[in-house]
Amino acid sequence: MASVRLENISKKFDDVVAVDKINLTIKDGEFFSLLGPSGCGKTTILRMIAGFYHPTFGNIYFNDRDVSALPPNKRNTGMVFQSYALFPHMTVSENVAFGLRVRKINASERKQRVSDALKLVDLSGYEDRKVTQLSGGQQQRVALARAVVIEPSILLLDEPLSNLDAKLRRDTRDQIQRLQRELKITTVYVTHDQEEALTLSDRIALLRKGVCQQIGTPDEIYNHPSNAFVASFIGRSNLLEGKVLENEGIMLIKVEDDLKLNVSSQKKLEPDQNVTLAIRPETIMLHKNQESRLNTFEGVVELRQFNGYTVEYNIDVQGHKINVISLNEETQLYNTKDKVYAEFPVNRISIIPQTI
Amino acid sequence: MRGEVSFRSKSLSDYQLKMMFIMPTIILLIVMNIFPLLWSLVLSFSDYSAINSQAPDFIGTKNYIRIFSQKATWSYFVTTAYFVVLAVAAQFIIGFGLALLLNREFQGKGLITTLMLIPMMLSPVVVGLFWRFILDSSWGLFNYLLSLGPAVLHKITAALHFPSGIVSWFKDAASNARGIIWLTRPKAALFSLVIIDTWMWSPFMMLLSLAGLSAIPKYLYEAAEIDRASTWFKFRHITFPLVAPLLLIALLFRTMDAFKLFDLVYIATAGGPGSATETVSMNLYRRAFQDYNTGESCALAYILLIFIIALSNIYIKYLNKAKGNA
Ligand SMILES: Nc1ncnc2c1ncn2[C@@H]1O[C@H](COP(=O)(O)OP(=O)(O)OP(=O)(O)O)[C@@H](O)[C@H]1O
Ligand SMILES: [Mg+2]
Repeated sequence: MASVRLENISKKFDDVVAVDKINLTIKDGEFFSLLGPSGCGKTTILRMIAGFYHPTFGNIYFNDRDVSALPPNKRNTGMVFQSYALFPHMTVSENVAFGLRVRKINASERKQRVSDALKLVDLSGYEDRKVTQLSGGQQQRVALARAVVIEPSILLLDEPLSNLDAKLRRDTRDQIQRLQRELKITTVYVTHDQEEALTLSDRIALLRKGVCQQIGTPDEIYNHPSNAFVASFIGRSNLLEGKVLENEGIMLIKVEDDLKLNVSSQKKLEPDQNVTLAIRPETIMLHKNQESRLNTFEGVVELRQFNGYTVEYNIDVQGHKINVISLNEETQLYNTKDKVYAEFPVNRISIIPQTI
Repeated sequence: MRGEVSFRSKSLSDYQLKMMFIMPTIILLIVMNIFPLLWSLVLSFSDYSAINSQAPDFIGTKNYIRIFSQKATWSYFVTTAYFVVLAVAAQFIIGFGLALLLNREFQGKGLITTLMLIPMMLSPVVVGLFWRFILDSSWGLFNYLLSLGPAVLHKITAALHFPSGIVSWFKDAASNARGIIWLTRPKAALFSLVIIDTWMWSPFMMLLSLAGLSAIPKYLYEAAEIDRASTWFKFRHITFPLVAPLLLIALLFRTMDAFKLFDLVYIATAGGPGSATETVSMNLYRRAFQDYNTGESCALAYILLIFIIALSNIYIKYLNKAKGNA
């Protein structure tokens, strides 16, 4: 097992800066996700950890050992490629046994370890199948078995679920999680799917255009996004721009003259500072009457979408389109053009200072 | 649209249209391939000469018996087999080797690949003719190039005052190389044909191997690297099994073609010296167009055909096995 530390890592391809000054530490046994939109440099970082690319600047440490210059075969990692990279001319067990054969492990031990690994991914009995005769999800699991059978100290996964359909994706996701907990193996997981990252990870690094936006636990990232990009990339957010009026215990933020919000926050912000407020749709509560609640403003329902156990509304509050998601409770259904009162709970609003 | 529909309904049904397109090919096949094939089968059981006005006279299997009872026939097959084995093996090694070298990104790759393909685009007659000049023993380029190495070494060792034994050994080697007689000595002549054919057809092997190699996805090698596979291990367990089916196809083509070798022999050695390079096809030509023994030559042609079909079947069996693995 090992920890991984990236120290000021940058990678340039000719003129393209794929990864820009990334600093992060992945703890021993941690499930760490690299999350971000397409082209943000996730694969590049993963391939630098694996050793296929060498960083243009910066160093990579496994357990405080500098591995920046080591080739992939000296790093003891296991990797699942986005395309699985199974050997098409071999059977399932030959694929899984490949790394063991390279290491000249004797046949009986090899057989034992292959069957253990296949059991781990629920593929016992498939030993002699050709990998080309497996479904996408089964191939994915063979790739996983091949990656863990060599007992790597770090497991690298590059969008392992992206080729699977929704149901299979959920099943395999659970399997990856179970496997990782069982083996307690340091895992770096690349994905562009925020739901995957949130459910699986101990911690997440959110990237954009090669730059790290925020590192934190799923809960931190979801509830306390550090900037507008994070707030809108992870889940959905209503973003409102405003200005700090006062900051005494509870902050008062002016969005419009008649739309002043109280926000509880530890942030030390001076009056007149411009900020962005990020408010999750599911935190907003709708009421029929004002009843002198705090942070509650009148609005008009513009759109209602019934999604089953939730109902989604678009509310116009003083010209701001506010997206609200409420649980489906029959007594509280509103129709389009209804007048409603939207309450923004004081402690569920994130403040993002604008840095210009 | 409407015009088309009315045109079709008025004049041609779908079936007729289909037939109209297929017929020219079918007729051509029957006239040029099927009929000659069957007719030559008939002739192979007849006593017939194309220059006599006598009709073919059915004589049963006598032609076949005569061919099989001639000792020389077997030596033609042996000569052909020697040639096939040596030439195809050399082409395989050189072609596959070149493909391995070319299977990476570098400047001028396209140009080099194209240049390498030129030999197989040339007519065998042209190739045969200019190799006759190249291999000429007194002023051919080939011997000059062969002697270049020893000659240079001779100069160097002489200048550096090496022991006189070594100096004169290189000197002898150079002058020996200059005097090698290629096309007019029995063993050397067959070997010359192998050299020429290899020069001409290694590019074909290279081309097919290259196609196979470049179809192997790069991530397979990366996966193997993560698993710490050595270069040899990767070649042995990934590259080779994955290109094997294509290599077998290339080998099949080359073997079939080499077995029928005629044009090169005809131009470069005409089967000589003696009958040292008399391949089966060359002998077939002789029987058909020098002795005008048409019936007998048809029988030999059929024997050759059966040989090639049998040989191809062996390859195809392996091919299916290799494909089953891939
Ligand atoms: N080998 C390369 N040569 C040149 N540019 C590259 C190379 N690999 C990646 N890039 C560039 O670096 C940037 C980051 O690429 P990367 O593959 O890391 O993105 P990613 O986050 O994995 O995206 P995706 O989710 O689409 O896989 C992109 O702009 C890409 O075009
Ligand atoms: Mg990627």
